[in-house]
Amino acid sequence: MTESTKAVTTSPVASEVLRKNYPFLVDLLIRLVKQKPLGTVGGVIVLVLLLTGIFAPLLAPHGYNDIYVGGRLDPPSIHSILGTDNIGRDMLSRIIYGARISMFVGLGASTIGVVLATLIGIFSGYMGGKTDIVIQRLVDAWMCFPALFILLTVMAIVGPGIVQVIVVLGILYGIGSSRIVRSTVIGIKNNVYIEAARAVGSPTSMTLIRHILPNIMAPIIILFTINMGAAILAEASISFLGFGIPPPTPSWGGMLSETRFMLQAWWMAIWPGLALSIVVYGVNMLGDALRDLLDPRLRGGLGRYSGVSKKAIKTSTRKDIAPVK
Amino acid sequence: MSTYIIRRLLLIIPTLLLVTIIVFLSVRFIPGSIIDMMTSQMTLEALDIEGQTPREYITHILGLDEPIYMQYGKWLGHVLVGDLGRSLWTDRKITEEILHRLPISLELGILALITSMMIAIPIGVYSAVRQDTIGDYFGRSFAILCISLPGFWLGTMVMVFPSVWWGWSPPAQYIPITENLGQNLLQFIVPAVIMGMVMSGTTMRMSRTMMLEVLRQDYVKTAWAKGLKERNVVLRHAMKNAMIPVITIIGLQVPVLIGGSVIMERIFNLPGIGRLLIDALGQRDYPVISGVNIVMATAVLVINLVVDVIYAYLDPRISYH
Amino acid sequence: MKQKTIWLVLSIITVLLMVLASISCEETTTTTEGKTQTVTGKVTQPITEKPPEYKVETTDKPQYGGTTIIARETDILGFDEAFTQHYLVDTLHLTNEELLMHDWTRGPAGTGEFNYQLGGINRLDLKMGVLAESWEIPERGTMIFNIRDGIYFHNKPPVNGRKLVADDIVYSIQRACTAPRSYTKLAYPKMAASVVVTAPDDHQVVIKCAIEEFGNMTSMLPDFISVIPHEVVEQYGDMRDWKNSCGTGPFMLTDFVSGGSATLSRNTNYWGTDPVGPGKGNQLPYLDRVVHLIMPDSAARNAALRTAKVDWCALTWDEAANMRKTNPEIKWTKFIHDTMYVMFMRTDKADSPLSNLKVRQALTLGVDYNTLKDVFYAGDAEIMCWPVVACKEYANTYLPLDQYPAEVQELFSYKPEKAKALLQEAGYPALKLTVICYNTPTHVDVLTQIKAMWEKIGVTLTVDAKDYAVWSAALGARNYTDMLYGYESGIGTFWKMINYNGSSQFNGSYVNDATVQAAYSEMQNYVGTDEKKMDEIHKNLLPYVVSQCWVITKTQPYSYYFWQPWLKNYYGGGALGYYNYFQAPKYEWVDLVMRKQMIGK
Repeated sequence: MTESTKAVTTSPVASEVLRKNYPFLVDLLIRLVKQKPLGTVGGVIVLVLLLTGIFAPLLAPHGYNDIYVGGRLDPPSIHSILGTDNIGRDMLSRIIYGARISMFVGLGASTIGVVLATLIGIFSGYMGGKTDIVIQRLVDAWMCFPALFILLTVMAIVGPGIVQVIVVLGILYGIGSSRIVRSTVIGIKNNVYIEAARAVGSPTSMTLIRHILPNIMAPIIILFTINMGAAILAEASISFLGFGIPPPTPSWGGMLSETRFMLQAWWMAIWPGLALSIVVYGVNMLGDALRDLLDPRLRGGLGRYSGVSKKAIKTSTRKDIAPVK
Repeated sequence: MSTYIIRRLLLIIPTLLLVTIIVFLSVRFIPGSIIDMMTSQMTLEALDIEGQTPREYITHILGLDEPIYMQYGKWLGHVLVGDLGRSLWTDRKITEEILHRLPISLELGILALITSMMIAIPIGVYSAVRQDTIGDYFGRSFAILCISLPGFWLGTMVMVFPSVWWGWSPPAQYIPITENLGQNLLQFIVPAVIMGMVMSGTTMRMSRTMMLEVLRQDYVKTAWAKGLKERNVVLRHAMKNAMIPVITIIGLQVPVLIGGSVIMERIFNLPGIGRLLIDALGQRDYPVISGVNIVMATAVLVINLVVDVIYAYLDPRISYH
Repeated sequence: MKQKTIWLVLSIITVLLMVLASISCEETTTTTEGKTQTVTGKVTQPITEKPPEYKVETTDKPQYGGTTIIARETDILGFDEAFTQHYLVDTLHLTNEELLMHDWTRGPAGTGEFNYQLGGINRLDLKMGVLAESWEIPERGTMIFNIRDGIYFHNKPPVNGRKLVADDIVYSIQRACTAPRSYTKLAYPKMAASVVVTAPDDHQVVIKCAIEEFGNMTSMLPDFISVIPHEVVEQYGDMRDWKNSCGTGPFMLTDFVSGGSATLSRNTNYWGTDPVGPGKGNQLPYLDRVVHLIMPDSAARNAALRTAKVDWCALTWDEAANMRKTNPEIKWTKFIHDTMYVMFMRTDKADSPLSNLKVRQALTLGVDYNTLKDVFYAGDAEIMCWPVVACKEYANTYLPLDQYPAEVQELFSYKPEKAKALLQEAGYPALKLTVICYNTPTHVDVLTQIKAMWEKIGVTLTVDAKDYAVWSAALGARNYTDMLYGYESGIGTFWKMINYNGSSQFNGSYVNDATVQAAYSEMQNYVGTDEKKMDEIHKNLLPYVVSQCWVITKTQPYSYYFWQPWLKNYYGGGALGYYNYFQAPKYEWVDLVMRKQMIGK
């Protein structure tokens, strides 16, 4: 049988053996759509977030700081679909621009986070020995601080703003996630082919790039999505407290901090919260689905019939598995 | 084993020193020093008080005119005898403040942890046992919904709307648990449930992952083959081993336990330690910041050590380096 | 392997490029952006209600017992005035007493002349004696107080309920003037240094000070220094610990949870009786307990008030509008607070456009105050609030807008064309200004609107929103570049002309004007002795001061107090002495029957 390495890891069943050998990401995407409907929904939500954020000036009917486009505290109507706030700014426009803020913070913090986690994890895990111990103690020290405290201290020193929030959140998640990367690296490091590579004389950098890096792609992608959701919520929380992105920039969390209007204007209470929930939900569902697909320990299966998918059982010609009704 | 514990305990000391030095220095570099704030709040004009300008006078009274290393040395000396100093704004003893506020944050944290485990573990186990069924999808969707809802939004909604719709709001005054159990729990239950929901996601995923891994093990297959009932297999054999890493996850959530949740404490009127820290940071109350920081750091480091030890003790496969 | 890596890299680059493309259109600084917009919004329900008049019900016989719970936003920062300012030691006003306080019989419980809503009220002609029975001013620089007999301290160690003597007052005042961290000493060092206080006998206290400090002394000592027993200081060093609290006041401090609440219980040893009303002659206080509940979150305070978990709460104007709709049974009152925000500007720098009167007038003409009042605040605000606000106690110090000369009234109408012309004349057709403020929506929203208005007259305003501590420090540092968003001083300091004269942070615009200084010198001759003349001098000066446009005032929304209907003998007052907030429980009582009827407990 001409099984490719890819086909084996997706399914052990003969009917899928002759599938083409797609590149990694496309294959991932196909499996996502086919096997994980919830994850696909999550992916669509994330895509909508990205598009809304990128094309915000085109999508939003008004600027986010255009005052009195309607009356003060207008309920949702033809003129402003989601209502207006206490100085007449259109809620829909502010939500759309808020998507841009969340997108920046989410993508930016996650990117910085995974880059930092990879660097620290690989360096610490691969080098081992004294370097490892020292770096781990430093990481320990860092983890002692509550995240909010670090955020506030740094923002107080450099002043409030979106770039500061992204960088600080990125560093926070980076250092926190480095442990996971490190343990994966340690796991891989002990494999024989690494020793073989070293014996052959390949330089460390090549070993790192060729062997280690591709194999930690899975946890990195998972970490990226987890941290993205966490970053969006964290930014919303600190903006709610008043320490994050300052007004009038429309952060969804900041928009929820003005509780005194919520009784007379329920739309000020609902839309930002709903937007936050849906976006973070989508990000997390996508992350969950990706983890299922990428983590080899979680091969799909139906209940006790571990390691075998329902479809495979139905179409299989193996005799040792009971037929599914 | 004991050498490992002792080595880790000893390593806590340099970590703590590093942490306290970083905090001590960094807060003093934040713009808007306490002297500026005091001068402005008392609206002191630049008249001289005993030959000094108000700023010089206040700086001297607060002890902030000494060189930083001397201030740090004095502070450290006092800490070693258990005296965390006095707040620069209220002049209250910091040790007392922390001792009063820590139990409140702990109570909130513990209740939140219990709620989160009550939500997460059953759902995680169920999802693993019935993988890829409708039940699994609902379970996972619910868990992810829990961690996606912003806690502060839920808290604010719970405060704003029920008071108008049903004339109900959570108790407003903090009463210690020793005085009135019912009122105390009633005040804590709403923020604890909200926090627990938010924290349950990670635990749920971890329990589901570990259960799935354990279910594929040979000894589980043997149990099926022997014809044991599902409940026995799941509860007796699988769960025990699957729960071990869950303890690590709980350990990771310890800073939340110690630090409390500032937002929940603010919305639900709990005078906890999270609020103390954030208020002190906003007011540049240096001794309070340093004091709370060292208490929290010590607690986190010690509890991490305890969790690591328990984990190593329970799982015979782990060898401690 | 290679193919996979290339795909991965390409995908990441594509995403990043899209993101970067949107970065270029995004402002990431703290300054604001926004298109020009006409402020045209209409408000469906303007708020113009006057507060209800609460008459004293003569048939209401006061009941003893009951608790009142007060909701407050900030923590209680101290219990000893030698360490924490008078404005922040709220429980001290119930546990300790001063020589004088506002005359309760001329307040809403009695003749109704005054409301006592503002904290900054400080006029000798409306005070009554508390620890003092009477007082006199034989000459400028001296005050003599005759101390009342039959006053006792709290019955707890180390004082054990002994009688008050004049020496106690001497001790307290001396301590306030010499303790290293005492606010009196730090803020008024010259006065504190020149004060000499003696007690010729057990029932008389004589305070002397330098003549030029007489105004400060009359406002800062009689109704500001709480009298404490020296035994407490001798035994404990100070009264910082709440457990050591001791005084002559109607309540005793019995519990304190830091960040949570403070509980005060009735002082059974109290000397005072109800001076006026249906309960005249009754032993005070009526209440068993007073609880200060610290609630930093405004949604929580509103919810607690609605569900009767607190009896008194201060609300903002929009919260008040909601509360009146949902809970009309809760009583309320409204007033303009005397420390409102204004935009200071550097009028002292010769090369700055802001030193030019025409520029300042243009900036004032370019703000549409009426729309701010009618739309942004739905009509629930006042325009003329600087340098003093309107209140019953200072009715003769204040000038309403319609009594100003026509040129001054015009400044507060909206004339963008004239503003542009003035700017052209002054030589600044396109002006760039920056204002520093605190990054809270209440500040930023107002400044955003002013920014939009000024764009139409060619002025570009950048709103620089800072962290609280940095902004607070900037207020005191007095070295901002263009404009600073700060607050004015309480009304009791009007005679110092502190908002537009001198070197305090309240003169944020660095005003140094000869006319003002002439009026100031004249004023000092009457301070402490002739309140009517002080009012007159001030009122005559107002048109000149306002016409100079030294600050950009803000339309100030009303502040509200709400209280449950069963809280009786309370009529919306704020402070019953100079910044003696929360002193009203001294006279309040709770109608337990009504309360049981309304909420069942």
